[in-house]
Amino acid sequence: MGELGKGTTLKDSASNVIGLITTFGGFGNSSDVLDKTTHDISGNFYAYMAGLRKGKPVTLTCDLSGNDTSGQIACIADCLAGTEDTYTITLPNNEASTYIFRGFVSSWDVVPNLKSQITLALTFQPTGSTAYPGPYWTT
Amino acid sequence: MTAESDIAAYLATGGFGTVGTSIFVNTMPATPDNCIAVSVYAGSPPERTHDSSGNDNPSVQVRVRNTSAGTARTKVEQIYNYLDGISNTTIGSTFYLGIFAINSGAIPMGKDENGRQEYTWNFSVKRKR
Repeated sequence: MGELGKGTTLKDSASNVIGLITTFGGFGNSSDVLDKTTHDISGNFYAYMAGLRKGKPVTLTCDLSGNDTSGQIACIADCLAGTEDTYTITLPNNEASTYIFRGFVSSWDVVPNLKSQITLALTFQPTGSTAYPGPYWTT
Repeated sequence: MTAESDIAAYLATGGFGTVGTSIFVNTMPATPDNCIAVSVYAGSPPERTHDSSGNDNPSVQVRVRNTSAGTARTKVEQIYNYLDGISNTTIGSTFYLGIFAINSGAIPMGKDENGRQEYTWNFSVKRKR
């Protein structure tokens, strides 16, 4: 079944919403993969173990709005200042699943397209642990 | 207002005629001989954001009719120069991100049954919903 992603939000710790988001690049974690193969391992297959984990960079694109001072424009200012904050992505399912991470805006790009909206691309770099506590959807 | 109504009014503002008298919306009546019709047709899908209804992308055709083929050709070219490249402009009460000609060069439609020459020019429109 699944549900449509339209209505997903990203808020900072003061519940400021970033407006006019058109694309989310997704969120998640990854783990380093460590080789633990030894000379006497059985079966001649490599063996691995999980290493350090990290939150994947969160990318998003918005239609640029100079009126979105507490959202888009604040993110640009945060990037310039290197400000860290706690961010929450909320999915639009009835259960409002959340992904919470501490991080900072690591890049911003404004693209003035010739025949379409001026866009703002933002990248958030999580630092430390992230949380994806749910609740998860049931449909 | 609809895109075609806004653009018809915008053409009137530009001195191309009067809406209801020589500029018509979605129709071209039998009279007067010399007139302009602005009609809407399907464009590309609308664009949405996660928190807004986004933009519409209708297409609009401007059709010029005149007893003089040369005048019809000149007028449709003037309309092309007037509309193509409009950006970030409020027309009526709607914000238009842009109006862009779809084709380079007028499309000759030939003469109608009364011998009046017709030309058309098509435009893509991007406007806030």
